Amino acid sequence: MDYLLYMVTIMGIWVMLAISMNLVLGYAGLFSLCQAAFFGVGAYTSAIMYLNFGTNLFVSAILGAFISALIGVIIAIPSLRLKGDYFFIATLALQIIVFNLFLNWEPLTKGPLGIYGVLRPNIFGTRLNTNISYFVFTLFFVVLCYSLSSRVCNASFGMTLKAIREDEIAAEAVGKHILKFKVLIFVFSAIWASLAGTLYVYFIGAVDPFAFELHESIFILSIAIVGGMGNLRGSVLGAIVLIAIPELLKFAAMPESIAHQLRNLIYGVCLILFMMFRPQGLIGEYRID
Amino acid sequence: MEAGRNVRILELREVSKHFGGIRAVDELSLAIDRNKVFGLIGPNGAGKTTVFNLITGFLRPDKGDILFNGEHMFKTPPHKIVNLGICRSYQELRLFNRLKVIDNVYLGFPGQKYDSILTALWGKRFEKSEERRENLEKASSLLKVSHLLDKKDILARNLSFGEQKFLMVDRILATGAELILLDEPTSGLDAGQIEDVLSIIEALVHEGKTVFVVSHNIEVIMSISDYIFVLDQGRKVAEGKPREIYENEKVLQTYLGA
Repeated sequence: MDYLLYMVTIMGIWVMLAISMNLVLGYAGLFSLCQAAFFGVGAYTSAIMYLNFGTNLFVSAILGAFISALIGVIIAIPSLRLKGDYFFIATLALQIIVFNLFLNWEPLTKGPLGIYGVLRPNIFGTRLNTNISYFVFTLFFVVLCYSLSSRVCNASFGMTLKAIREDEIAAEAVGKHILKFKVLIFVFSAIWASLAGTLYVYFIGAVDPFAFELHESIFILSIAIVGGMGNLRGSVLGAIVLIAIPELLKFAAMPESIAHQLRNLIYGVCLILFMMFRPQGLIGEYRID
Repeated sequence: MEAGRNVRILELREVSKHFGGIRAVDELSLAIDRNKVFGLIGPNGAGKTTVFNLITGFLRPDKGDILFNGEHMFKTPPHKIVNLGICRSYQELRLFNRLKVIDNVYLGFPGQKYDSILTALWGKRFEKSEERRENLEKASSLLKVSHLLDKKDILARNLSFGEQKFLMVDRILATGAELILLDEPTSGLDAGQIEDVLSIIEALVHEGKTVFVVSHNIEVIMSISDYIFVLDQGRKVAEGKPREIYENEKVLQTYLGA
């Protein structure tokens, strides 16, 4: 039971990450490869603040989100001004830079060893030491993320994002300030990825740089694709399915080393099958007709 | 005509645009009066679409000046030009194909509060908002006129080509622009549909709009325009009323090479 709660909490965190990817790629059509970097910024900020200053979770969460948002603006404004693939390249560069900062800025991040000893938070006088209490805490943020994101996506703001995805020039030709929309949704998504990072580090109690590598961004991307683009429910289902599959494999009797390889193989096969047979994902935006 | 408003809605003063060594538009001057239909004709590559791109801000002139309602628009970005009151169509339509028909129109309405992420987040729910209700009503009435209302919930890409053209006109109307630039509005349409487009253009003028049309179809341009400009290799070779253009020898040369 405790194991199950552990797994659903992990799923909840990845639901937030998948939503953050979906907002950018599924709605605005912007290919981002740095969601794991924002995830890491949230996690590292919280861990560093906690261990050095004993900062409260909410304060670190806000600080992490602020830093992520700031990085998002700095990356987005120059690269989104240009048409074409510059944004994609900029996010890839950011992902690599941030990972290398985690890995090499030893005085702050303790390098490859990572940071240990983050205790579960104290909320209104109760320490969330049990997995059930932390799950409820996480669930609150997942619901918040989902409902605020769906507000944004369902409003004409979200409709405009889809219009930009469909045809940027046409969106501009009906009077939309497209740069503003693109930058805002990227920053909004960065904030959620960062909050997911804060939840993650308080849950696991430790961070190391390898949790925030490029392949993590790609994993988040696969969740968003498999779940379905342009539909937030898809991201929820995608996170559950893609995290559950490798866990279920653990119950099959095989050595850990093989199971690990198998996990990557399954993601690869999954992605190919989805692209071939269900390009709109598990829950697509619209019916393919 | 409103008091204090000039008859002249748009003016290009010696506007030039070069692409590398090619002079797409060369010292072009033209003036467009309010509440009329103006035509722009010329052979392929004459620079007609470039003129539209310059007026709508998607291209910046190398030289010269563009005035809309007497205001200089040298550095105005495209989305602001739409809000000022110029909207254009594209030859290739550029609809939002994977959005519903009604959403294509909805997106055109100016000054939407829910285009702000903060209003979307903290305001009243969009689904229950007054703004949405009003705009949906306005969109429906536009679609009704173009006989698309019963198709409002299908994706724009599933409409026929003719229907898509009407949807594009509806999207332009939604912006409320007073100057409407139409790029090849009749291309790819059958005779009956061309009639429909022409009557729409007449209706627009009747509502007080000004229309500037680019077309290859000389007959169409001759029949609807009050005034015509002829462009060749980026230069204005003639201008005048349709009859004058029809009898102009230079124009005949441009078109027939005679």
